[in-house]
Amino acid sequence: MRQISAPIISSEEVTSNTHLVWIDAAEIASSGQPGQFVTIYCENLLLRRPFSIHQVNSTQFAILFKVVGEGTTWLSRQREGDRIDVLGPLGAGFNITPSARNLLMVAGGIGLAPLIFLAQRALPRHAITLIHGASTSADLYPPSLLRPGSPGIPSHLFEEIRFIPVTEDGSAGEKGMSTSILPRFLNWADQIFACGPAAMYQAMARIPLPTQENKLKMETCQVSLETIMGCGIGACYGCTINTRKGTKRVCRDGPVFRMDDILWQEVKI
Amino acid sequence: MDNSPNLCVQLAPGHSAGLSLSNPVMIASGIFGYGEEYAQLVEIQKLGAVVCKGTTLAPRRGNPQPRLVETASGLLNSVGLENIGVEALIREEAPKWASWQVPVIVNVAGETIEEYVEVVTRLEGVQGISGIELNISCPNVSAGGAEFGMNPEIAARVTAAVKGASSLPLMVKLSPNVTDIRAIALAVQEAGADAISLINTLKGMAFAVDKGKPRLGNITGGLSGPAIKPVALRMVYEVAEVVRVPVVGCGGIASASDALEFIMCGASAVQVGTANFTDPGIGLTIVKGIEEFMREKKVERLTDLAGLAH
Repeated sequence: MRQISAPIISSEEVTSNTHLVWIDAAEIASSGQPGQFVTIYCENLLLRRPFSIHQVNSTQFAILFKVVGEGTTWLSRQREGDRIDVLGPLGAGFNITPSARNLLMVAGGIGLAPLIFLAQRALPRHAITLIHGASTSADLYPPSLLRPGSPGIPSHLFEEIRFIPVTEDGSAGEKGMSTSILPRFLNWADQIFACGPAAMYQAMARIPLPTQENKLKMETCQVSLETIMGCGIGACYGCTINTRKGTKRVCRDGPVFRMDDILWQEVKI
Repeated sequence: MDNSPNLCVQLAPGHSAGLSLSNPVMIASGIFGYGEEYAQLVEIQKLGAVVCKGTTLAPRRGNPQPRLVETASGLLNSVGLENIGVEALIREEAPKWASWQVPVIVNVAGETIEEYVEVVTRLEGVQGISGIELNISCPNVSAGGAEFGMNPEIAARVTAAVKGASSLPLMVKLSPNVTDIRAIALAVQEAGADAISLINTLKGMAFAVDKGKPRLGNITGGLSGPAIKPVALRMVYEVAEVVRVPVVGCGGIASASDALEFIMCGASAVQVGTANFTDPGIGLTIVKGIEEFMREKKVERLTDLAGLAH
């Protein structure tokens, strides 16, 4: 982990209110692991904001974020060449079990961000099915960014990933929630990874599963949590969460946790 | 001739071992944890001192989440003293500090006077600890939950009890949630405090209108950050005017200029808290800034700046 002043290489609003920003930071790009995050200083805010690493190349990494408050508004306005204060890579990321071949990834909205990096690392050794749930088609990752040479997700990734869009209003893909179609892929999957709002995880944890095998897959599903963080490096205990193994720091012990370790009824994030 | 300014401070001149700092910038309790995480990120050894997380006799789970809320120029927290307990601190953390150059001060918290005494008794003779900071902003369970630091008599009683049980330099951290901070400061001085640090967080609250409930799991929390700096500075000024022991200023310090304000108003040293979350390197930036200021103004010793306002 390092704190560096890094220049923005490109910044683009890829869908309405969602921004893709590439940052030149070789140390973070080379050492960051899927599921890890960085914190970024946003002008006039006391707390740095956490962002999952969305993609990397040899010297740069990208973040994908939705503008939701002051920090993300400020960051979305930074332009190519502007330097930002970045700290990372931070936290404990996803872990692919050596024996797993078929990986099921479940993204709720902007939760797509870290799963793309995971898919990037998992290919070509693994088969990947990625369910991307959004409220409407405009919130899904835009196909225009899947062209070769575009700054978005490299097109070869999407050629190799089975991509299943789901929208709540049915404007693209299947109508429904990612959690409603998830059970269909459980027999196929060897391991599950998810990133989305807490409500999505709570819904996943409630899915009735008839076989012991699928039950176990869901229990061991790796989920990435997002909370307000103080220090972001494990020192202040501001971002803890209650688990079966005691209180854990989301920023240091996570952000990726095992689904059944979390005491979901106590989660207030 | 070496013309670099002398930033050294002695925080416990009345104590046989003393508490000597190479510069006046300390990291406030609850920020650096036990120091290890930040040691990987910043040159922690170049700081004046590090105050570790508030430590109780038994491990504590802390308060329910959410524990942090950003407010206008401030941060509300209700971590609730989650900590590993004094035994784990002695076993797992102190051995690392023994090889550090930077003095580590253990912040001690408790719910009863007996608990405070028991914690400092166990810290006796442990290598790697340079001093004790007494957190008297905790609720006194045996007196209906009012903070120890709200009443001069009770503040003095806990200070005297700890002083009698510990051979380490003792700094008492005052709560700002009082009517007259000078009375508390004088009481803990008379009870044997070697130094006084202030202020702890101001009690506050934030409410989520859309959810119709308080934002913090614990309902109330402690406010820190730039929002409280003027309050902290006023209290440091008032306390420095009446006590003879060194005063350590704390509350919203985020720059060398902020630190110098406290020093000129009577603080011998400062503690930096919330600003570390914004920039983990802020402590060292402040040390450099103070040094530059002294060079520019041709001030040879930091002590020459002390209490200019008085």
